[in-house]
Formats: sequence, C-alpha cells, structure tokens
Amino acid sequence: MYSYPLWLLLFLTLPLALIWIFKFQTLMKYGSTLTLTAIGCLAVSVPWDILSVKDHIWYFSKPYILGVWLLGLPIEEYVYILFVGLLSASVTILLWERYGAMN
Amino acid sequence: MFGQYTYLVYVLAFCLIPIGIMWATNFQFLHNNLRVIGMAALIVFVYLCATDPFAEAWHNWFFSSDRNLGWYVINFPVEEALFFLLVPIAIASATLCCIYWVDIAGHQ
Repeated sequence: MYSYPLWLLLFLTLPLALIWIFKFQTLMKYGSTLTLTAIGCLAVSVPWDILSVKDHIWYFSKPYILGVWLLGLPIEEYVYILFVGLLSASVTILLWERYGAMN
Repeated sequence: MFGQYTYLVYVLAFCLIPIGIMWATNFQFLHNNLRVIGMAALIVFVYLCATDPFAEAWHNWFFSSDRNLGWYVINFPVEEALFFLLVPIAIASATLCCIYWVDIAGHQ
C-alpha cells in the first residue's frame, strides 16, 4: 500500500536531500539554473507522461498510489519528474564545478 | 498507434528532439563539456537502473505488454533502460545550457 510515495521518499527524496545538505552552498549559487531546468523537465515530461498514459504504455493503480490525480496523472508522477530532474541537474552542477569549462 | 514500438518511439521522440535542439544551438559549449555530460549521465543511469527494479516489484506503475518490445532488463522493459540513459543526457545538456545562458545574461 502506498508503495510509490514510499519509493519516492527512499530513492529520490533521500539522496536529493543528502546531496543538498552536503553541497548546499555550491548548489545555491545555481538557483536560476536549477529553476529553469526543473521548469524544462516539467514542460517536456508532463505532456509525454499524459500521452503515454492515454496510449496505455503504462498505467497506475490503487492501492500503490495516494489516489490524487492531476491532468490524468497521479501526483506521484509530478514528484518523480521534478526530483529526477533536480537530482540529475544537481549531479551535473557538482561535476561542472570540478571539470566544467566556460570557453 | 505504433503497436509494440509505441514506448520506443515515445522515448526516442521526447528525448532526441530536445537533445538535438540543445546541441544544435549550443554545440561548441556542450562539446567542450562532454566529459561533464558523460559522467553525470553515467552516474544517474546506474542509479536509476539500480533503484527501478524496486519500483517494478512494488507496483509503482505497470506496463502494457502490447506497447513495448517485450525484452526485459532485470524486471523492466529495455525501453526503460534507454529512458534512463537518454533522460540524464537531456537533463545534463539542459543544465549546462542554462548555466551558459545565465552566465551570458549576467554579462549583459
């Protein structure tokens, strides 16, 4: 029961929180970048997800989700899209700080 | 619409088009930072491949068998593995493009 929210908590929220706790000062310098990337992720992935559900590529079922739906998607999907985006962007920023080249 | 190729077509379309646009418009900068994109994509790819079997086993979502190729890696469709590779490449490229644009905007 509610396994999807539990999975989000264990496997996305926890690692994201740990990265932010240990690298808060560095990541805060890139607030605009993280915001733009998160908006971009939602802009591409939400329509993709809606079409995928309409085309029956994947589907969701109670009691594994909370049962709160928005635009045909469970609320957990929005958290997944946002947190995978932020996790990937945070890892990229930390690598950029070490190996990145502006020119 | 595409039968068993539906998931594959969606992954390729929704990942390769944004990646192509970002690389076409910021080629030199992204090429200079290929190592950052490669390392970020590899780290996230390995992490998602390691954690997704739990999502499948816990029934977070279900796949329709007539919409994918039917080839599985551990317990998830091979298209999902492609998703785990292309999505981090797209996000790493987008993150670097945003860093570049924010830097340019700061200098104007």
